[in-house]
Amino acid sequence: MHRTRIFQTASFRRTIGAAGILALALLLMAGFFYRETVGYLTKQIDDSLIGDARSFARDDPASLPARIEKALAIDKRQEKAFGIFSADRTRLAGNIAILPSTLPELDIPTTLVLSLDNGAEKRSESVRGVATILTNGSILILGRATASLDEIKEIVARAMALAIIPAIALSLIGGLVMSRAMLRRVEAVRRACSSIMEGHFDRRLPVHKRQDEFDKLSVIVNTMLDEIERLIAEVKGVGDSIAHDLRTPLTRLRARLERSLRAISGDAPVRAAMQKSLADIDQLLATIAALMRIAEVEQSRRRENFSRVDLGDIVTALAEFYGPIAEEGGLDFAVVCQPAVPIDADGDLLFEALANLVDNAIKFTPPGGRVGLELVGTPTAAVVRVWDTGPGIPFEERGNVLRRFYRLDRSRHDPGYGLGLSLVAAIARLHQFSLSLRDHEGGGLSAELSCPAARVSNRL
Amino acid sequence: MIKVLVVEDDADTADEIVDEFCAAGFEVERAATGPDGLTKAKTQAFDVITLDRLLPGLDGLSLLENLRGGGVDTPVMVLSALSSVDERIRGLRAGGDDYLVKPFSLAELRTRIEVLARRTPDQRATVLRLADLELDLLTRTVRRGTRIVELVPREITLLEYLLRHAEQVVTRGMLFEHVWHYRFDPGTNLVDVHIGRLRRKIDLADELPLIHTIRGRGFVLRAQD
Repeated sequence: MHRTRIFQTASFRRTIGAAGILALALLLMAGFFYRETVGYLTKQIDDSLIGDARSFARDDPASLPARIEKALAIDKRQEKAFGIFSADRTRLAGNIAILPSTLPELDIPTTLVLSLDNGAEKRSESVRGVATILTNGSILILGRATASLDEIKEIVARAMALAIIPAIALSLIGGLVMSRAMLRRVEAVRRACSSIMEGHFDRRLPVHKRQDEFDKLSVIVNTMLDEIERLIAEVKGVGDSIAHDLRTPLTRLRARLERSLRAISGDAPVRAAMQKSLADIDQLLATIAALMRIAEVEQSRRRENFSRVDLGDIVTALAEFYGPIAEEGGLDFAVVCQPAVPIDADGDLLFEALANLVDNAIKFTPPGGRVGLELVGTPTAAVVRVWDTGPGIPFEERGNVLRRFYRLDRSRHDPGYGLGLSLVAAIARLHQFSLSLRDHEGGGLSAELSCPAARVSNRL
Repeated sequence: MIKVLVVEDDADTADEIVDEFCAAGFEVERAATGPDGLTKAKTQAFDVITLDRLLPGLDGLSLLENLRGGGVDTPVMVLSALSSVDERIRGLRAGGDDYLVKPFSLAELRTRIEVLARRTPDQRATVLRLADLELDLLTRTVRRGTRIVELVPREITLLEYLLRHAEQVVTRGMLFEHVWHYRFDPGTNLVDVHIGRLRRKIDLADELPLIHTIRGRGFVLRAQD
């Protein structure tokens, strides 16, 4: 299975979607956890800061420097910051070197960057801090390091990364596995369908024991196929019976007329009438035969007659067969043919299809015109082109002429039953060749039967 | 006299066929069911058997297989309303020598029966002759008296078929089947064009005409008018 095909599957796209939603949910959950944890810890620090600030504010401002020094002395982990500054911003006590240029709102803890001086070194540190004005007008700032808070933040971030990356990777791997399994089942269905389309009406879609939605769909399609197969068999049976039942009386009728005609020596008008009747019977029979033949080809039951045939031989035989006929019709018959183009086909049907095209080209091209039969074969494709300089087929009619009984000549003066091109189209479909009708220079038609690359064999 | 067994269950069709054969001077025996046909075919000697595909009692193809299995090699013409190529192939594979789809022209049937009945036993001859016309299949040369006739390969095949069935009428359908080897009806009067070209090369104005058109039936290669 090709990788790009897996990526194109609906299940893989859904997996990507699910992985995205999973990542978002994990992010939201981690965000919530982060906010709650950090918020709780911050509140703890803030409560402690407010408690301390109130306690300091209640004391006599004169005794505060001594109390601060004492508190600093017992703060072995150097997590705390203290500072008392006079109203003119002069440091009175504590380890805060400089009063921040703009003070935060009083008595509300906030995050501050403080310049600390613990005697040995000076450093700037981000802390949670609170400022308050003492009764004598001096300013007290208390701070608490947020290192533990930062650690918690880091732990949460790491946990998030550790959870999200494997979760997404796992869901992608799961998606790939599911897509592969899905693709395998789709492939099995596709194979069954193409086999059915090739005419094996007894083929069915695979159904597993697990009875999942795929199997349920397959069961429905299989039931539908049973019905279609039954109808086709019925229609074919009816067709065969009609053909048989019509042919038997027509055989008698034709035989009787033929023999009676031979028995009559004089009576020219009666002979003429009988001859016309015979011609009508033959036309009727030819129409029935052509219809039956199209139906037979369309039912695609004839692939068993496929074998390796040489398209070059078929085109050469056609050229030999129709060359003299074109010449009799006063036409220039141009043949371009490569010697060996082996393909898998039903040689008789292919000859019949191409004969129809050449026959049409000759029939509809007025004397003095040109008809061409070309076979162009390359290692990857083979195209048989039949062109003429006749009246052509108007663009809008080209689809119609492939329909049964459709004739460009509405008055039906031209010979034919309007079934030739339908038969060619049916034969082309059976072979999975493409038939195209286009303009040929000089106003005529160019009919092209192209044989897809896969069917052309390089083995000569 | 050609002795024919007609195995056909439809009485009217059988009547027409028998009348046509009798008029042509054949000796005719008829059978209306499969088992009857099989018994007659096995116990009497016929030059040709015409066999309907769908018969009461025993299907035509089974009858044919039974006949061939029993060592009877009388030429058999299968007649059938089953017209598809597959059916024709089945008929021929079961041991039929020719296959004609209903409804057929009685003239076509009679002509094919004549050809089957007079099938040349030796198909190995490499030089075929009629009057002063000679075809050497090894050198692929054609002579009319001392004159060398230039023919294209397909014309040689056409002439070979006519020479192998000299003095017998051959129909357009037979020529198309045996000379071009494709099994469908291309509007077989197209074969007339090819016969016309061959005739122009074989029969010059001052020579005895050899290729003759038999109105309503086909062509014959023979030395008399």
